[in-house]
Amino acid sequence: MMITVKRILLAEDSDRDAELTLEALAQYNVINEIARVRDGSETLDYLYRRGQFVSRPVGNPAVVLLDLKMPKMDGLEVLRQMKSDPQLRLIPVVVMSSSREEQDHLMSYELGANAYVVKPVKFNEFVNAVKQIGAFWALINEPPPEPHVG
Amino acid sequence: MNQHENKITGLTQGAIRRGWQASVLLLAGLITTALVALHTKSEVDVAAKREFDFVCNEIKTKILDRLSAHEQILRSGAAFYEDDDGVSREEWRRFTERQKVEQHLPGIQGIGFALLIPPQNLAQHVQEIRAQGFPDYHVWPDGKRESYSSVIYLEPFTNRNLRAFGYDMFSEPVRRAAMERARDQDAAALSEKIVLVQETEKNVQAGTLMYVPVYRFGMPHDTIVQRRNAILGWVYSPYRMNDLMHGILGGWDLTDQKQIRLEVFDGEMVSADTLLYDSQPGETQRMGTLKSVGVHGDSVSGNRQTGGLPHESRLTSQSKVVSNGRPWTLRFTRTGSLSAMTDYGKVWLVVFGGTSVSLLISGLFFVLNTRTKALQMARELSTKLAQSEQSYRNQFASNSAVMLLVDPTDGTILEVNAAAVSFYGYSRERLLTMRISDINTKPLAEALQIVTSTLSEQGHRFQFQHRLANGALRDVEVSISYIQFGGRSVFHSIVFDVTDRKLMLEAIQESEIRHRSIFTVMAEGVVLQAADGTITDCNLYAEKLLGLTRDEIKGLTSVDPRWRAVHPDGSPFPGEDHPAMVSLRTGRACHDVLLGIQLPDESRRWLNINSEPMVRKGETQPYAVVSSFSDITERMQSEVALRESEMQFRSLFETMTEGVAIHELVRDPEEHAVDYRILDVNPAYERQTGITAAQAKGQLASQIYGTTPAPYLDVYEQATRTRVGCSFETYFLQLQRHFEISVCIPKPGFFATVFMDITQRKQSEAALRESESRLRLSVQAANIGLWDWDLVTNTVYYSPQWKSQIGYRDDEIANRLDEWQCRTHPDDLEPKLQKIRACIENPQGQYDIEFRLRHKDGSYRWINALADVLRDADGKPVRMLGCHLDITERKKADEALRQSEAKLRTALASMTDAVFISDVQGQFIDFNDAFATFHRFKTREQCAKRLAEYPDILDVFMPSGELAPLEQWAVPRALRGETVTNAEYILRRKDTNETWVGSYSFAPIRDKNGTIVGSVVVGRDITERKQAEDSIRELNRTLERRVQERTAELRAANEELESFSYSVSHDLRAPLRHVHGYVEMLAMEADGHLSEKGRHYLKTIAEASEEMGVLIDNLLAFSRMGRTEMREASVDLDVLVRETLRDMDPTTSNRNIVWKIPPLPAAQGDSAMLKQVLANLLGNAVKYTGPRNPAEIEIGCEGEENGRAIFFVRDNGVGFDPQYTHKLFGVFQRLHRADEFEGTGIGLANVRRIIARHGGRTWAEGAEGKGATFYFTLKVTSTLAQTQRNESQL
Repeated sequence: MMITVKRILLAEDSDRDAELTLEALAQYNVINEIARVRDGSETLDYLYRRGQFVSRPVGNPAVVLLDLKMPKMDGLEVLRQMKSDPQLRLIPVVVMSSSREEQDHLMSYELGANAYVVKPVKFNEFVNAVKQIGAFWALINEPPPEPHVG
Repeated sequence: MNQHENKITGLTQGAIRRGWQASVLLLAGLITTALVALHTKSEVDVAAKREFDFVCNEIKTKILDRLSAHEQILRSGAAFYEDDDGVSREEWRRFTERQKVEQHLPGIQGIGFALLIPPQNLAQHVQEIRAQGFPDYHVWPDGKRESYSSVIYLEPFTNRNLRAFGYDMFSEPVRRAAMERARDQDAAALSEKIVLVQETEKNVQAGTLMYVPVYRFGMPHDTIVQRRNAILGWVYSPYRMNDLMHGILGGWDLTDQKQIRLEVFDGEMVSADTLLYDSQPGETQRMGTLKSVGVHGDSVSGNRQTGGLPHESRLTSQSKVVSNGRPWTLRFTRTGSLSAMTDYGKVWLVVFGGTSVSLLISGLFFVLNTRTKALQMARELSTKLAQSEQSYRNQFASNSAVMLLVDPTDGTILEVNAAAVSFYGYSRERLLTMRISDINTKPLAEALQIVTSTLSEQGHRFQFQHRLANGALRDVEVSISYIQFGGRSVFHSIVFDVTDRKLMLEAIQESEIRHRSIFTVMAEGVVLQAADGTITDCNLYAEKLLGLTRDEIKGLTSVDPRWRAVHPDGSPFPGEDHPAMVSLRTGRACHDVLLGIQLPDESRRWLNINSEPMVRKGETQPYAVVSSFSDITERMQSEVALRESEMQFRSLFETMTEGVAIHELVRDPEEHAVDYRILDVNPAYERQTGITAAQAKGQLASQIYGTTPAPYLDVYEQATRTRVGCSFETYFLQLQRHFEISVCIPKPGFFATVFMDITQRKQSEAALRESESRLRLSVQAANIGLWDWDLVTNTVYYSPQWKSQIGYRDDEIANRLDEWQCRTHPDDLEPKLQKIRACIENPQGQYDIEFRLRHKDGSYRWINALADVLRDADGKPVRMLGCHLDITERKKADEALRQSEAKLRTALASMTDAVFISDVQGQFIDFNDAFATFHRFKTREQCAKRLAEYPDILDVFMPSGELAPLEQWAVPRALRGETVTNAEYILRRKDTNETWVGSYSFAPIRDKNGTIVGSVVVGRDITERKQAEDSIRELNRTLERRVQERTAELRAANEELESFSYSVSHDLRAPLRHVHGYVEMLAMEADGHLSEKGRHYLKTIAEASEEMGVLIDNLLAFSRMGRTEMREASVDLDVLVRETLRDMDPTTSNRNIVWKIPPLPAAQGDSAMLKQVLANLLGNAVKYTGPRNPAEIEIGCEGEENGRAIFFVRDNGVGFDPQYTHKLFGVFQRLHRADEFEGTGIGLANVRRIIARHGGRTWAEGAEGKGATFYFTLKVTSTLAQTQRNESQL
């Protein structure tokens, strides 16, 4: 069965985590287009199609997998800007963090995160978590209608 | 007269015919006669007018005088009423009787008093009058009015006057007008015409009322306002006008021969309506045709009313009199016949005589000419003359005035008229034989000489005395003139009886003389003063009383300072207040003013002064004042003495403790004493008998005491009869008291009893007898030992009690002196003997000593001995009597008290607190040594002993720094009743400025009645403590700052820690994940290429990283636990246990575990944390019982510690080595290898941390292989019992 795959934006500064994530998604056979950005500003550049992403195809990602602890601009700041922009605020955001700290957890939801996932230490658990996220947001969930551009 | 002239004219016509000369003569004679006659008549008319006016004036004066007299009576009535400020009916009656008005002033209807009654007093007033014996009394007419008056007295209180009783004259406008006028002007006022209420149907007369105001005693009434305030009522008289006028005119108006009619009109209008009185009511008057010609002023004026009157000689006179503010118009009308009143006889004599002469002359002349005619004429003439003479005679005879014709040469009486006959009492015939000297008291020659020498043509009046037939002498005024009679010139005498007038004049003169002589000689000083107060005259006695001669007195005034006048109380008596000056000012009399003056010889003389202003009629201001005064110096002195004596006796009577009653013996007609009447009693009588004076006075003894005959009547009768006093003791059954009664006889028929209530004495006598026997008994009962030492025989007696006091029977001690000496304590013996000797030698000595006497058991008893020495007539001591009291117990108590006091004193002395006790005056009765120290005195002796001295020694301040006034110091506050502990004061010595802080506790000391008798104050020097407190306060202040600093530091550290934890959780976990992830991926990648060993390595790497992940998670949770805020609530532990067990299901489901879980109480705490505790402890229990089958795990709650319940979790697991118990609850501390029991070593650390945060404690008991018990304590919100109860209710 051919699944219609939507683009996933992965905001993750750690190459290892990114690799593990991609590995997990790959294991689930999510044939997809996964864009990866390495910090907060890159994330926004991608979303606004500017800088190095000026020429990327039009269209918002189906979901943003957002790491909180990133250089330059952290995930919470990205989240704040996204949710305050009408163009971006409907994009589902899944916060993925190593932190169980309440302040991150609470703040993320207050800023409008759609989900909050603590990255499990055990690899198989990590793989399961990513797989399920990918399956849900990229396959099952119906993203909001694409706003007209122009 | 015309008639005569006509006749003469007829004659003249005849004469002309006979000879004009005779006619001319006759004519001339007749003309002369006519002229003379006319002149005479006019003179007579003038005289008649004068006479009329005189009578009118007399009447008018009489009326005014009488009204004035009435006014005086009313004024005296007012003064009588006013001075006494109210008089009784009886006093009023006596007063009016004394006036004898019916005798002196007939015509008065009565003298009454009308009381003004405010409406609010009306009911009470009626009650009062009714109570006087007039049950039907009421004020009438009825109806509501703004004020009432009532005729309450009207004397004589009989007949017509009874009708006026209670009549409110104020309700009737006419009367009211006069009453108000009297009130406002302080003057007598006559009312307008009224009809008196006294009038019956018959003989109704016009009336009037005269009022004089009565003001309240002592109230000023100088102005109208004051008068209206002060008015009390009016003294008044009602007058029936006819009766009044009859009285005034003295019957003049009733005589038949009244020739003057008097009409009195009220006011100035002459009309029937205003007519008050008419002396001839029968005669219809020309009312209305007469205009009132009232003349103002007080004079009488005569008016000849000629206009329109046919009778030209009729006289009327109208005049106004004003009496008591009311004008009356008097009209006099002459009504009698002309001749009766007027002396026209004279005219007729002239006419007659003149005509006769003329005729004679002309007749002679005629005769000379015509003899025959003359004869005829003479005949005619004599006829005419006879006719004329007859006519004159008729006039003469019928004249009411006494007339005589007397021969001037020899005094023969030639003719008399009827009036003369009636006057002299002789018959006409007899008179005609008499000479004038037979009736005139003067000798004939002298009488004739008097008359002839002075008599002129005009006639003259003479004063003579005539003797009547009955011998009475009358003073007469004789008007004598010459007339021709019988051809001769004779005396025509008209005799007026002036005896009465003369008598009156004489009486007046005599009275004047008498008064002058009385004035001169009377034993009362009299002084006359002019309007300005200057003394114009005084009598002899005044000279004597004033100590000055008449010449010295004259010209002085009452205000002259030389009198140095004083009131009886010694205060100065200003001259302006002298009664004479008061009378001059007020126009009122002053009576009985007491005044003391200083005589030139410096002695004091007391005068009683009366003054009477003298006011001229119609004036209000006195023109003079007469004062009379009598010397009452002696009377004053004797009065004072008498009063004092009376007061002494009265006060003796009032205050003496013996009851006194004064009685009058009552006898029956046979002179047997049958009773006696109580006349007076004193207060002691009232007290002793319980009968008040009001009840007793005037009562018969038999009634008062209720016995017949009256008590002790026979005794009193005998005493009264023999006039010998007596006294006796008696038990008065009626009062149930014993009395000693003394009787004395002050005067025959009376007796006084002085009685003393001796009930108490009698009772005490009886009581004494009783008490004697009682005493005897009590001496025994009170264990009093008696001894009796006969000094003469030197023997002694000891009573049985004396012996038993020291433990001996009566027969064990002999009655010998040495018995007590040998038992007396050796130390006490010598003082005792000395005392006895002193007592025997000195009669005043008192024997009252305490000593010890040896008891039979060998102990000493304390004895208080009292004794008395009896002496014979020479004062020689003969006996000594004494008693012994055992006071051992008292001595013990005294000793105890002394010891206790000593203890207290020692305690006080040893106290570091100043203790001082003051009396209510602030005198320090006692204080300890600390007192001196406290107040910075060097020694106790230097201390001031009185509070009042301390303000000079100390300044005392309130804690606020304010200076405390003395009354805020501790002692005054305690004396005011305050009880205070630890009141702080700051004290400063004035001399050294040393300052310290005292803490005072103080309280009042009260006696058993609660009265404050002193104060106790404790003062403590707390200066050092205060300083310590200050430094602590300072430390506290800095401590807070340091805490704040420390807190800030901690907060910073905490924040660092948090940031650290954050890093740990995030940064440590990421590499672990990576290790794990890549190991997994490596394993998958190289699955087939790796050796068994290689796979083992990979597996170990993976496991190690996993463990590290758990470790980090637990560490973070533990850290979070320390930082998480607690949410305390009541936590149901049963529920928590169930939840925890459920959560543990995965690990327990395959185990054989025996759970012992009883119901647990609810605990106070954070539910999530407590769940963590349970999870950790139960988890441990499950874990460490792993090797057991079955495992036994028990949860429970038993006992408590520090208010917290002790919970435990017990298992039968592997236990632990007790020596490592202290490591059990440490972080990362484990007592087992991980390969035995997995774990991080965080769990129990967490338990301890949570329980510690709840304020509880954790500990553990156990042994290796013997299981373990973990304890923790928690606050419970309900006991288990409560929980169970609640559950059972569910």
